[in-house]
Parts: sequence; structure tokens; C-alpha cells
Amino acid sequence: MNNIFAIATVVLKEMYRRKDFYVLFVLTALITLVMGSVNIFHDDKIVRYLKEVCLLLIWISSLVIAITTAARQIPAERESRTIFPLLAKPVSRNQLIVGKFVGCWIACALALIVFYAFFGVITGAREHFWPIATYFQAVFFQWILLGIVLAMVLLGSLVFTAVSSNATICFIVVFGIMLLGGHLHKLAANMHGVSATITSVIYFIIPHLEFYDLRDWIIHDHGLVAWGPWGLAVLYGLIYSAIFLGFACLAFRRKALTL
Amino acid sequence: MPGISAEGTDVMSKLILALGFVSTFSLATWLQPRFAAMHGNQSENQSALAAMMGDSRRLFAQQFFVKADAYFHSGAYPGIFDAKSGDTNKAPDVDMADAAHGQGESDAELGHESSYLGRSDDWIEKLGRNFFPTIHTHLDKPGQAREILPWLKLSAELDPQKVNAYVTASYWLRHDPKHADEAEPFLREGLRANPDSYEILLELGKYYGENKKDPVRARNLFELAWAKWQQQKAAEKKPDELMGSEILGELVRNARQSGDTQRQLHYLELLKPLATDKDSVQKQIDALNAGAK
Repeated sequence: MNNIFAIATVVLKEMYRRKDFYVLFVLTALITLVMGSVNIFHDDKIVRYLKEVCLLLIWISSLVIAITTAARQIPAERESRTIFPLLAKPVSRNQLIVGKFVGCWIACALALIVFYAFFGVITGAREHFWPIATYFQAVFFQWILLGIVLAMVLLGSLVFTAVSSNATICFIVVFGIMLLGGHLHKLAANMHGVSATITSVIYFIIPHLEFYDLRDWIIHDHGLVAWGPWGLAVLYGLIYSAIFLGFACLAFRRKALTL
Repeated sequence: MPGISAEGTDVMSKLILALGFVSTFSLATWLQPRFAAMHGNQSENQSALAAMMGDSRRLFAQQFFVKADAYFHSGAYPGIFDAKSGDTNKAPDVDMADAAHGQGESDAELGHESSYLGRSDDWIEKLGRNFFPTIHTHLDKPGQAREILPWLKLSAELDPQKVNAYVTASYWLRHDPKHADEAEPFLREGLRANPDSYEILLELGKYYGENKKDPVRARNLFELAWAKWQQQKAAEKKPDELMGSEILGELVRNARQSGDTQRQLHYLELLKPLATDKDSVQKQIDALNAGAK
């Protein structure tokens, strides 16, 4: 456990030295503030469009941070050959993968807290309403989603040769699932034969990342999500993270580390 | 350069420079008339955004208009995978715009799970429905509907020919006492871009009649709207008959307020062929004729 947290701490230190988060946060803040200053029929109480823009930017930024950070973890260690002294500590290959995952996941949590704090201040200043519990549900859901994505990207970094190809494929898969994942069974219902079966199988196999998107819920002030289904979805996400992480450990154990 | 003297290199660089100047001058002469033509057509190209995006902006304008309708339904809105085959002829913008014309859907579904979702067949779908808005509500209380306005304004900015955006935004602005006066400049902006729009003239007439309590100005606007409607009918542009009857209905109401029975009868006669309930119009005509005798 100590080894895992030691590796996670290194990942965290690397994260705050890099400028990705700062640039994305400043961009998000700037765009949101500019949008907030737009005069719409002299009504300064209009807030939902601002929530929509800000949440969209937060989602894009957090996915960019998660995917780009996780994609370069293992390849960077291999390229700089620091992976050899690291594994000679002794740190097992499984501990290295889990440590990298935990580090990236904690970094994502910190980034999300900063982003949502900004979001809360901006929207609270306009509507004088602070649904803290709903925001907690949304942040935690997004964090669970990022956990699945991080595990998926770590697995990808051991399967694909280049960081760029891994990141691109992961972006496409994530956006694909977010847009279509929940509708595959409806598409399958209009298909026949093998294609219908394959589409249905994909529908039941893929992690349904769209569960974790509470943006419309927050924008339209629908109150709290029922805790029962919320907890089930959290469990569902943790299981998928564990599955991807397990596959990543398996792939890393069999991987030759020489370049 | 190998094989070329220093003097030759000097001459060549001067020639390349001259070629550059000639090319840029030619490009400028080619571009100038196109820019002039573009700026000449003011109703089509009012903003840099329009010049930059070309006709693709109409697509985005429609998208933002639909977004406004989704906001009107508090996010419980069908996506492309949810629309049932039988409803495909129904434009997604109907509800919000219908409400603006007093033809909103029935309240039977309000407060319940939206019917477009259908029955959920598997546990993934059942679980997923807990995380997006499914309860059918409307933002139709005073002050609530303001949330749809940014998207309508953006839609109108991207496509100034989108008359529905002006009319719908104006309807909701007029019904908010604090912002009713914002409706007029927005409608005037729409009228500048669509000088033949009877819809905008009708809405402007309602603004003067209902909000400004100025029946004379309202009547002039309704009459102009009716004239525009007739012009389009004569030009076989198939104007909306429902809108035509709405304009005549406003003219009848205006004549009733001013106690002008002859004008009231005149517009009722015009309304009869367009009205969905012709018997009711005939009864009004009969009642007025009986009163006159």
C-alpha cells in the first residue's frame, strides 16, 4: 500500500508542475465570465445558459486532463527508462499500475473540486441558491466516470504503441459512449440478424458513461438524484474501473519493457 | 545558390518580391468586388458571424431554437433516438412556439414522466432514467421563461430570417412585466430583417394593444399584417391560414373595443372562410346584424 501511495504522490507532483490544468481552468473561467457578461434583454437573472456553458467546459477540461495525463504515464517511464529503477525498488508491476491510477484519480478529484467551486460561486452569485448536495452528487459521479476513463486509458497505453493514438482512440470511445451508448438497444431493435445481436451485446458490455452526466439535472434544478440509484451507479462504475485496471495489470505483467 | 552569381541572386530576389506585389494586388482586385457585394446585401449579412459561417449558421440557428424548446420543457426533451415514428412530421419547435400562439399542448402530461420515453425494457435503461430529467414540466410561469431567451436571441442572431425566434421571444418578454418593453426593439430588429413578415407585425400589434394599451397603433399594425398576409396569398406563397385567422381575430377584437360594428362585421366576413369553427363566426355575424336592426 505504501508503494502505491508513494507512486501516486509522484504522479500528483508531476501534475501540479505541468501547466495543463492551469491553462484549462483559466480558459474555462474566462469563457464563462465573458458569457456571463453578455447582455440578454437586460435581465441579469438568466442563469441556465451560463450553467450549460460552464458545465460543458468543465466536462471537456476534465476529460482532457484525465486522458492526456493517464495516456503518458507508462510510455513516459519507459522512454526515460525510469521504469527500471522504479521496478527494482522493489515495486511490483501491479503496484505501479495501481499507483499511477490512484495518482491520476486523486489529481482529477482535486481538479474537479476547483472547477466546481468556481461553478458554484458563479451560479450561486446569480441565483442565490446553493444546492450543495446535488453538486456533491454531480462531482462524485464525474469522478467515478473519470476513474473508468483513467483505467481504460492506462489499459490502452499498454496496448497501443503511441501516446497520441491511445489518447485519440480513448477520446473517440468516450464521446461515442456518451452520445450513443444509451441508445444502442433502440438501434438494435430496428436491426435484424447478426448485426442486431452484436449491437445488443455491445450495449450490455460497454460501461455506460452517460449515467454520470448530471448536467441537465443541475441546469434545470431537478433537486437531488434518488440516493439508491445513485449508489448503484457508483458501484457499477467502481466495478468497471476494477475490470479495466485488472486487464491493465494483466497486460503490463506480460509486457516486455525493453524499447 | 550554386551556379548563380551574387548579382543573379540579387536580381532573382527582386523579381520574387515584384511577383509577390503583383500577386497580392491581383488578389485584392479579385476580392474587392466580392466584399462589396457581400456588404451590399445588408439583410442577409448583418454580422461578422454571418459572413464567417455562411449558410451553416441556419443549421446552428435551428439547433439553438430547439435548445430553447428543450429549456421550455425543463430538459425533459426527446432526442433523435426517442422520437416515435408517428411523430416525425411534428417539428420539435412546435410546443414553445404553440404556446406563444395560445395553442399549447394539454396539461394532462405535466408533472408526469414524459411519454416519448416509452416503456423501459432493460435494467440499464431503467437505471439510466434516474439521471436525466424525465418529468414533463413547462417554464411558463412569469419570470421562469426568461431562461429560454438567450437561445432564442442567439438563434435570431445566427439566422435573422428565423421569424419564429423573434415572435416566440417577444411573446415571453411581453408576459414578463419587468421586461415587456424589451419586446419592441427585438421585434423591430426582426422586422428590419423580414419586412414582409405578417407574424412579426401581428406580434408587434399585440404588444401595442395589450402592453402599451394603444388600440389605434395596434389596429394599424394588424391591418398592415393582414395586407402582408393577403400579398403573400396573392403571390401564391401559401401563408399560414391559422395566422391569417389570428390576425383577423385581433382586428375583430380591436373593432369590438372601439365599438365599430361595421368594421367588426367586415372582418368577421373575412374570417369566416379561414376559421376552423365557421358556425361560431356565423353566429357572431348574425348577432351583430340582429343588434344593428
